[in-house]
Amino acid sequence: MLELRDITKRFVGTLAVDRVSFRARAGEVTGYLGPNGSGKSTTMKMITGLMEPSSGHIFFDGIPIRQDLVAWKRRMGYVPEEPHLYGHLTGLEYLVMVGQLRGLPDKPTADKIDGLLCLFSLHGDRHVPVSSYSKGMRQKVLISAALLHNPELILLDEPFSGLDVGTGLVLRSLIQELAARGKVILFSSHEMETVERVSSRVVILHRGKLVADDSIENLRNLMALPTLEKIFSQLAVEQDTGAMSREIADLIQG
Amino acid sequence: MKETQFRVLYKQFLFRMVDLELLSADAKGDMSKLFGQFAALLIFLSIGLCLGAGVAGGGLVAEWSGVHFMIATTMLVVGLFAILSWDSTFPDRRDVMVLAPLPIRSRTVFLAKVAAVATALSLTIATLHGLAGVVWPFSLNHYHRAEPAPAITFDSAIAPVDAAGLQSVMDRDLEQALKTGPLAPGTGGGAAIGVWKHGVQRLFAYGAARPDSIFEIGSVSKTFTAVLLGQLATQGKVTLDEPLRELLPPETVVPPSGVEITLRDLATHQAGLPRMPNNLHPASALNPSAGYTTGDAYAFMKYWGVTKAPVAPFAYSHLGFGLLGDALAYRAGRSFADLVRSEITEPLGMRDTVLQLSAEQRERAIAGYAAPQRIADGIDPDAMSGAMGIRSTAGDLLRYLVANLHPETIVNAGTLQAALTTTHELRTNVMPGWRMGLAWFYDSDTGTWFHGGATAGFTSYAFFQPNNDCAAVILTNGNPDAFAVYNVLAEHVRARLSGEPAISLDAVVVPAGGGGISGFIRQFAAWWITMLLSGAFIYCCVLGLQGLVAQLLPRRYFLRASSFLQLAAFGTFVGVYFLEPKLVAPGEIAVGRSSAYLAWSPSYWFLGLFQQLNGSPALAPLARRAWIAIAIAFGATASAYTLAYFRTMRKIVEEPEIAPASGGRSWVPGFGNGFATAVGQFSVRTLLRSRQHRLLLAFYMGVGFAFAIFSRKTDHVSGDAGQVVSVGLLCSTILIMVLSVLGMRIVFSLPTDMRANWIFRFSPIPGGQGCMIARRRALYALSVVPVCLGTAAVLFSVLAWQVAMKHLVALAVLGSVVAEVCLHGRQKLPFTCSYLPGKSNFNISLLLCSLVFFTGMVNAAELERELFDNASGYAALVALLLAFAICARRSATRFAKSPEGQLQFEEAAEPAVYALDLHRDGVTETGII
Repeated sequence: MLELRDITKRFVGTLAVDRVSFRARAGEVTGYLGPNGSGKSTTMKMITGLMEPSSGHIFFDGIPIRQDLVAWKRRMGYVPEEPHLYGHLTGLEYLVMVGQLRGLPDKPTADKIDGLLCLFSLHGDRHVPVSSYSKGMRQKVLISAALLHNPELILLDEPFSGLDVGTGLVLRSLIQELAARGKVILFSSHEMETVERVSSRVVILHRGKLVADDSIENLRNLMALPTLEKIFSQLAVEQDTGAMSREIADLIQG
Repeated sequence: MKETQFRVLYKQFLFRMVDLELLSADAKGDMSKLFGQFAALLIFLSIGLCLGAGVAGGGLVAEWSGVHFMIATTMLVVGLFAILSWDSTFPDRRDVMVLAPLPIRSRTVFLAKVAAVATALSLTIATLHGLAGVVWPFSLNHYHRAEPAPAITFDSAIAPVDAAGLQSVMDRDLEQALKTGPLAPGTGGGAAIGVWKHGVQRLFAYGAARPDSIFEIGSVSKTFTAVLLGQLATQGKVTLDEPLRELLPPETVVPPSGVEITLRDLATHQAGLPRMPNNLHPASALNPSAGYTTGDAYAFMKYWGVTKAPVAPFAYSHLGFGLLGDALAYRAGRSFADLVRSEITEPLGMRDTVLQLSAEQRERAIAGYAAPQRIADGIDPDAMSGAMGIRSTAGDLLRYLVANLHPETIVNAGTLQAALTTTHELRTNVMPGWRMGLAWFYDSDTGTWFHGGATAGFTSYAFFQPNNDCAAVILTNGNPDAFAVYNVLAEHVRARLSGEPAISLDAVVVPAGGGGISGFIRQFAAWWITMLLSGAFIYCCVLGLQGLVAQLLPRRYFLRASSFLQLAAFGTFVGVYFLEPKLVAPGEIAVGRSSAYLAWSPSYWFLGLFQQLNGSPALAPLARRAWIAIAIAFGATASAYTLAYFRTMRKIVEEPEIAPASGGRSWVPGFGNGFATAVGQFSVRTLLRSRQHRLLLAFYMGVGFAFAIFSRKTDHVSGDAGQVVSVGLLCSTILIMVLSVLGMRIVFSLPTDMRANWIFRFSPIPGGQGCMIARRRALYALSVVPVCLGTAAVLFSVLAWQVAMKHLVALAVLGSVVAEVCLHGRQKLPFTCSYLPGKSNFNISLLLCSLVFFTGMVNAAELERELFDNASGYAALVALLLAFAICARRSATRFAKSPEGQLQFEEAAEPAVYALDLHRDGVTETGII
């Protein structure tokens, strides 16, 4: 179980994350939502260990992650939002390098990479430099790299970005399947419909503060709103979207 | 509207001319700083180049060499600029994709591009010549004196001239030289010519010379030494394949374990010996071998040894023939002079061919001139007699040449007939079209056997042509470097006898600077036009080449070929700059191999152009080539841009830029554990596939190789080349090793893609010690090991294996010392960590340290060479280096284990946040949320 306890992150003059606490349990897919600038990205960096909280603690299975960051990184898989990859390496070379960086045994990892490349339809392009890949192909490489070492916690940041419909459906099922197999999954996306379908639970941040942490079903009942999108709008969107769109259209027309 | 678009695009293109990503992969916002550094560097260079203007007034050799150096340097700088702006010269995919949706005409884009290229090019040259472009024209205008130079034109061909008719033809062809040139009355200059054709013989002379004047014949003496070898071989006293060692006094040299130098090797310049020995310390440059005794030569051989290098190509050696003469004299038990007299000159009746002149001969000996109005000392070659010690007349030498041409006519001369025939057996190739027998060279194109010679005050040339049944000798009393006509006289005679167009013997006068304002304006204009045109020529060549390849290849293959072309262009520019002759006498420009080379050297074309623009008639053919070259280069560039206008834009849009798939074979070896292998293989692949890193490394390696080329050339001049370890060779390998390690360390520090390094940050990377192991293996694998392998290949081919092995061991240990020092400090994984551009203080420090390092390196190399023969001393040297390496390694490892030695991805010690751009939400350009 991943647990954030009173996590705070201050920058000079800015309180980016303010005493956020929540839990992501094994077997569940936890949706992680928030508008731009809500502190979502900062929290994600603190969970990955790339940034140290100003105060508060992050635990995994009851152990503070900063106690042994290297060990923590071995247990975690991460799909970043932006598909930044080394373009001069081929897809195969990149995945082999990730396996080596993680200290995975050569032969089983090679077989696993081969299987992942086949399943993601990348096998034919495995010797092509990543710089030539489409955004969807890069995303598949990122997902493969995140899952290569069979992590216990999987952090997914906009994992559907650039994927075609078919692969998107496969990934959706895969997330649920992995959760069913006992993985802790924290899933961030701006697509409310997808989050609603995949996640059993959501955490919503707004201006650095936690504004919701419950199952979607409970939130729907509690707020008497039919969809997650409506709930999110209620909790985290301050603007009158209709008025704003009208203003923009008026501005364009002069 | 169009003007605004042009202005905006022009500004954008201009500031993007230099590939900033090449200089720093993360140079956000530092454009002005980098441009400032460029400009400062060029201005600094310009100040340095001003110092060279002091050569003005030092004679044509110095002035032409100086101006040529400036032209060549300009071309190199522009060439390097072209390499830096490689991808900015044509509209690229980024331009097309960004600009295509906008309402801009393609013509505007192209015009802005061309204008930006022209501006950048002009600014580069203007910055480089900002100061030098004033000081040089001023100095040349003020100090240059009028001086004659060869015209480098050809007299029209006439029917082959016979011996009887040659004098009248030469009277006409030498008309100007006799009136106002080096053969004019009062100059002291003279020439004696002997010719034999179809049984008719003529001897005649010009200027101060008479037909029976005695001249130093310089290296034509070598052919006499070869005949002596043939004589003794025919008489059974020696064999051609006899080791030299057996003809030296006992105990002179130790019998080698490998292949020995033989007499045949000496007589064909294939012994691997230097041009001159390095224990020659001449008191006078005009009489370099005076006082060099046979004992000195033996002492040199004791040091050098008689092992023949595994690969010993043709290397012209005075020492080799000096030794051969001494060795034959030792075997015969007589002096070399006695041997020449009894075996050659007496049987052939050559009474005036001697090493020491009698009183009567001294009266007939003509004075030699090292320069106009400067009489040279007489040569006194001692141990080098076999190479250059003989004096003779045109008549005697003609008799000797006829004997060579028709050995069958020799009667009552013992074994001489067979000996001469022996020297005419072709034994080796010298260069394409040139072969050689014993001492004699053979031009297979014209069927001419020939040998030239020169001493400080004399020039000689002897040849015979069996196919034309003719022979001729040309003797003059002037140094060929000082008297251009003397260098071309023999070639002129040969061409007249063969009926070919003959190189003109006329000299032209390079007018004096003038000294006035108008003269300065002309020099100034000529200077700037020449420099701008030479720079534009190089730039246009690069553009034309790129444009042509872009048209010929599909887009995706062009992109791959382009990066290799860029590297090849860099190698070509640097290689040509350092390899081409820098100090060329006017006479050298006119004849022989120099002429052939210079005819194809663009920097010399522009030297001709500078002369022409200054109103000088000299080097006109080179100037003509410059104009043709400019027309071709400009035409190619215009075509390339036109084709790009019509085709490349469409190709960019239509054709994918997907790089072709690799073969899929993983040949990169493992580096130990998984992490070290990941880092090592990533480093190898990045270096092989990243253009910017490859090119940056090439700059560092280029300096090393340039020094190697330079020192190799210097070795040949100083007589320090060959199979023994020369200091230059040792220094070259040391410098290449040091620069390779340092260059690789610097290249490692430039990230290939900062945003992609999240995978390293996110991986469970081991602590400082594990990182150090991975970095160390990557650095060794990419710098120390390849240099050791390359050096081994060179050393084992030119040196005895024991010596090669010794230097290799010392070099490897030195490499590890430098590598360990480089590994010390903050730990960064290769190609993954941030790099702050503008940290050129390292490069400046490197430059300053290198000045100290160069001095130390030469001393260290000399020490190492001395210790090769001293086992305990050598062991101590290696042990010392090893101790340094171990200390440096321990220190680096200790630091890596400390808290400060942990892996750092960011240049700044305490970043506010990690600028990973992992998520776009709330992340600004600087990474602050």
